[in-house]
Amino acid sequence: MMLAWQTLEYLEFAFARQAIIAALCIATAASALSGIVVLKRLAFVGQGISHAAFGGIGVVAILGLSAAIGEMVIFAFCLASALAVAGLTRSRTEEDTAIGIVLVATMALGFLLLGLRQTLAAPGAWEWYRSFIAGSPRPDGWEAILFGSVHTAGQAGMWLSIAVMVIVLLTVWWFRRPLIAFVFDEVAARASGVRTNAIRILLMVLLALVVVVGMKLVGVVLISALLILPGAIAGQVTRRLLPHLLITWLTSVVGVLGGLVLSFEFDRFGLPTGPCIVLVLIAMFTVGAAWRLIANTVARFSGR
Amino acid sequence: MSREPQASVPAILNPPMSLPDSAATTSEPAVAVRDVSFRYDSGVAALESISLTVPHGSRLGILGPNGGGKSTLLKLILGLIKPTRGRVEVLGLPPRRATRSRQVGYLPQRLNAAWNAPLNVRQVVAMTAALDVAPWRALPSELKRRIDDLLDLVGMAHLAGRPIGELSGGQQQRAFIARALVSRPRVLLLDEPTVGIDQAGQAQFARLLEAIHRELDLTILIVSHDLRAIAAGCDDIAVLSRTLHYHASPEGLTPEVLAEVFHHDIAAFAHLRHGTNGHDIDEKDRGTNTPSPEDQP
Repeated sequence: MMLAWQTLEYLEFAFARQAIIAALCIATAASALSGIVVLKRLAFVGQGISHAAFGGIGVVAILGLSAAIGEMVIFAFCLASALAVAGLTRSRTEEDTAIGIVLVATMALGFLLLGLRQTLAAPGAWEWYRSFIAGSPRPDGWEAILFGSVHTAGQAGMWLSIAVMVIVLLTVWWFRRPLIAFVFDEVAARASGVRTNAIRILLMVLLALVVVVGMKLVGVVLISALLILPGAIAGQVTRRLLPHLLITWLTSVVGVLGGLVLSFEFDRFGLPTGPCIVLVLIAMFTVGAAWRLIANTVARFSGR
Repeated sequence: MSREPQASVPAILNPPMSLPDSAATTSEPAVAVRDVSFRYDSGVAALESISLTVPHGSRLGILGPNGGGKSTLLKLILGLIKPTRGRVEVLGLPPRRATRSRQVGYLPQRLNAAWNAPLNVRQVVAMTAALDVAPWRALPSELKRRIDDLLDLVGMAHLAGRPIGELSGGQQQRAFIARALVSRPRVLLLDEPTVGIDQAGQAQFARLLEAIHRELDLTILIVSHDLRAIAAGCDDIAVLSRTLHYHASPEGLTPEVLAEVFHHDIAAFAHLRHGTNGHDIDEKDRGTNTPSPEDQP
């Protein structure tokens, strides 16, 4: 019971409450897309989109943009890279190659610009640049960008997460029928009049939204875990629609909450939030895979 | 769309009587391909000067080797691509309009589907018709009834709640047929319907198609590289390999034409040719060409 006590104590801090609400919203939004990501084999696309954020972070840093505009620039970068992947894929580049290219390109740009800012902003030669970026927020440290941190959510982050969750849930619900047809068989869906290109772009926009907002929590590297693992876990356990949706949502929420509690409880060890969340999700995936294995074995020996 | 209480399955599935259909359209073919060529952007020709007409209520099998332009032709008829030259008409309409108005039922290649998707048979059957329902509405009960009737017709009612991925190839194919029929199409396009289905499943499928054709008054187009798929009850056959090599009844198809088109394996096709009259597949189910008691409603 010592664990619960620690976390409850944390709840007295506004940042912790905001972080938890933000985390639940991101978990819910990501879980709504997770099943599609897994079934449509978009896992690597999520990876590409999230790493494209590096490019955006670099641009924000070098131009000394404010936080609000910065978010939009990062979102634009993620979205642009997603669309670049879609565009490249249509013109005879394999999708994984396209993602690989966009991923390294945006990461290289991000690292380059961040490094440049550090050099330029150092006291000394470039005074005009120092005054140019004066007052702009310092770029997050590497670890915060890579692995996320609950401390960065804040009230604005919380409201943003709520908004993204509402947008994602409403959009997925509204387009549920074309989405199901698209996921099940793209060619047949197009033959039935579904505008598959529009649906694909819509998915990219939603993925970019979730990535940009979720990135702060679990970090660039690990945000795709939230987009992949819940769907993968549900896929292990069930092939029925409602249970599938329920399991993606539950695993997502449990993973995020569990990770947060872990990182609060062991705060003195400085456990970063992102890895904690991912490890909880991985643990659930392992259980799901074991379940699958046992169920298959039982089915084989009972002669079905 | 006012109709009296339904007495039998076919009455429900047939186009409503109020539609000005037969009189207006029987004069023109169900599908007309007029001097159509298609070239890829690279300039490579997939089809050259194809002309085909499919009369209402007939069944045409389009046979050809892989890469012979079969799927290109199918895409043209579905309106997914536009011909480089020539014209395609489905029910007298541009193909896209015929497809969008759900007058064309399409059975896609089975292997393209995501079989691990968490969907049951009923959800798969409802998939296409559901696209026409406004997002804020639930599926109308009339549609649900029609789906039930179709599940009965294809013999899948007892499996309606089962995840689609847990079924055999033949069962999945029957669910797909039901999906293609939900919107009461007047033309049915089948893309490689026999791929990955065992002998028994194929025979059952052929019988089902026979029954559907007889009861629903449909025009049926089967595209396949597999002669058996087409042998099972097509009135006409077209042999396609970039150009049209043959277009008449299956009986007149010679091994020489097949050899020219397929370039190899003549012996195998000569052997299969016995199936063109339906013997190959009907061996076990003799009598399916004439209505048998079990097929009657």
